[in-house]
Amino acid sequence: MAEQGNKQPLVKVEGLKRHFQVGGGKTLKAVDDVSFEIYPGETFGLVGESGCGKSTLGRTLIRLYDATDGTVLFDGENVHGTKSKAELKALTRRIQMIFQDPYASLNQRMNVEDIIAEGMDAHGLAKNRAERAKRVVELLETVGLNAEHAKRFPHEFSGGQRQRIGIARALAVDPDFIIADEPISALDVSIQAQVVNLLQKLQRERGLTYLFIAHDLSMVKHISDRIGVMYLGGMVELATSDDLFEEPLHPYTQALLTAIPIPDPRLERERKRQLLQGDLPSPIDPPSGCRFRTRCPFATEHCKSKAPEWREARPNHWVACHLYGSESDRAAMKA
Amino acid sequence: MSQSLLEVRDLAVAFRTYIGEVQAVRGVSFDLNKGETLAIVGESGSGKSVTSKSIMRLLAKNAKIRSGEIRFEGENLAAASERRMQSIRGSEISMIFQDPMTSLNPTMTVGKQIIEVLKKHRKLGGAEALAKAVELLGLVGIPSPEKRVKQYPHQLSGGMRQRVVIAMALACSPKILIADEPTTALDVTIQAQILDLMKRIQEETGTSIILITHDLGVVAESAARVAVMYAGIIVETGTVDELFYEAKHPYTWGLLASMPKLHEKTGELTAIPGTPPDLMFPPVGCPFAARCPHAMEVCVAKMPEYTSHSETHSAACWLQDPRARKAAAATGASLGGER
Repeated sequence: MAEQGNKQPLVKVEGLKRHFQVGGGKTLKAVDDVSFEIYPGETFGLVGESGCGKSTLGRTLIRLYDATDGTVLFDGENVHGTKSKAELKALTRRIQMIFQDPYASLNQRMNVEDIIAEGMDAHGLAKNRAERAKRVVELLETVGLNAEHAKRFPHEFSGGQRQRIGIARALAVDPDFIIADEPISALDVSIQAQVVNLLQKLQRERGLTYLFIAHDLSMVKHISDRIGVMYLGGMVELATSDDLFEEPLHPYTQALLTAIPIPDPRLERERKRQLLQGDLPSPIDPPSGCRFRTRCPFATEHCKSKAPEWREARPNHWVACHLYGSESDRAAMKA
Repeated sequence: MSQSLLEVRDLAVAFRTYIGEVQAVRGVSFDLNKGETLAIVGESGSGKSVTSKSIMRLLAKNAKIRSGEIRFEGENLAAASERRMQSIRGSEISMIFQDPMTSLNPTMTVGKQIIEVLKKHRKLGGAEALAKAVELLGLVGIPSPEKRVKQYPHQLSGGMRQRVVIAMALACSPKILIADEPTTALDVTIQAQILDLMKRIQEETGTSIILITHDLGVVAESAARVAVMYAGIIVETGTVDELFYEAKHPYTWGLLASMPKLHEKTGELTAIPGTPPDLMFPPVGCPFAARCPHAMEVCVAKMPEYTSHSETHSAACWLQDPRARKAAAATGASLGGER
């Protein structure tokens, strides 16, 4: 667990924007003015529905996409600043990524040893072939596979095993920060637990920091120390995972939480759910003011005219909603 | 049970592939009662979708129903002619699939696709069919249906498309609706809307539903009874309460334990070690034995028979065999499942 206190954040995101030109002079604001911090050793969960911009955010952090505006500081260094090839390489060694689809993210024509060692080769981390092979075997064992798997090809493995290979590849360059983009959503329930347990074990052993992107809230709650909730390109709420589940403040978070089916029939029969009406609006032409207002049960005229501020409504619990806004905003909501 | 609408008995389905035959379904039996929702849960490759496609006789060309019967109102669908099946599909039994975009024709307006069903099975005329299509779209909660009826699938969102697919499936008031992972491609807030819709429709029309899913949360919310499939067989079946609170099969225990609990803090998740068996060479004994923490010698050697725990609850596990229970009592060994 990360103690925040006076600790320096490992990742500091400020006013980050990533816009795409989609033709017809229109702009898709996939990530629009997002700010948050990730502390060393913690798992930061990022949740939201498809199209909310959570994957784009993850990719922009690692400079797979260039930022349209705003900054990302990784250990004090500006990720999007002008860099020589060598500087960029030094930075990207420290940040690695694990992808959702274990079928698409491994090169089918390379054997497992080459897949895992590719990063080591690029960064010149192994002195000779023998050391390279030895490191690969160590990594395979770390993720619960073994030496005999090294010469095989991806198609010989199950989904869960492939995801382990993807994790071994990420670990190969000894990173500090791993962005896991929906790492378990393509896996079966019994296998998901295996992979999540592995990720947690690696974090304990190596002091890794994770950004865990997912839409499965129950798994995100299980693995994360703090969680950020995204809606249509913006972050609407950020809190520790316990606070978020015990006292969700934003109406969207509340709806999201009641929408998760609980694998417990008695609880399921008792509880009342707050169904969200309608669909996600298009991020190309998002609603004015608060983006969520078109589906929000508490929306008023004020939400239409003014976008809510990002405020710390409770200690370490941030939310963007007029219901928890400044006094004048709250007064305007009642009017 | 006299109320049963559909009786599946010892269904076995195999797929021919170039390296051998895959035994996808290996002797599945269950009943579906009038007006109930039966959930079939299992992981990928467990045979849950193949079972449902066998009922519709929509299996791929290289698949063959090896043995067994699928009795629908007394008629064996496993032996029915293709012509007969065509009159049943979409009218008596209809199906909705996971991905609404692949079950809709992108070049036809949604209205036309619904009208097609109505003309074929209910022999309605043009104006009548159009009116009915608008009514159906309204029934599944699509706002301004008279406008939407003229739109193409790409103009609708994922949730709307799934509603259209449900409207099509309901067009002929089928007796059975088979929903194969109907909400897996949708976001949770939209999933909640669709599950709610299916519940409401069942209350209004009395349709029986077979819900195929891998999500135990969806099961707890929507089903009355559950069958758990693993490696081509049903390992346990019971009411939702029996299955969630009095499960008898170690695979069911494993599934329930591997889900994180939303309302309590759990340390490490209980994972099921290993992976399911290759059904090209299915094990002779219990298919779960290799991953089961309670496996005994007999489990590897012989397939367990079903033991019955109530009128609705049965499981295929040697631990539940009276002889295993007697032996355990004699030696003081634990049979697991004390939760």
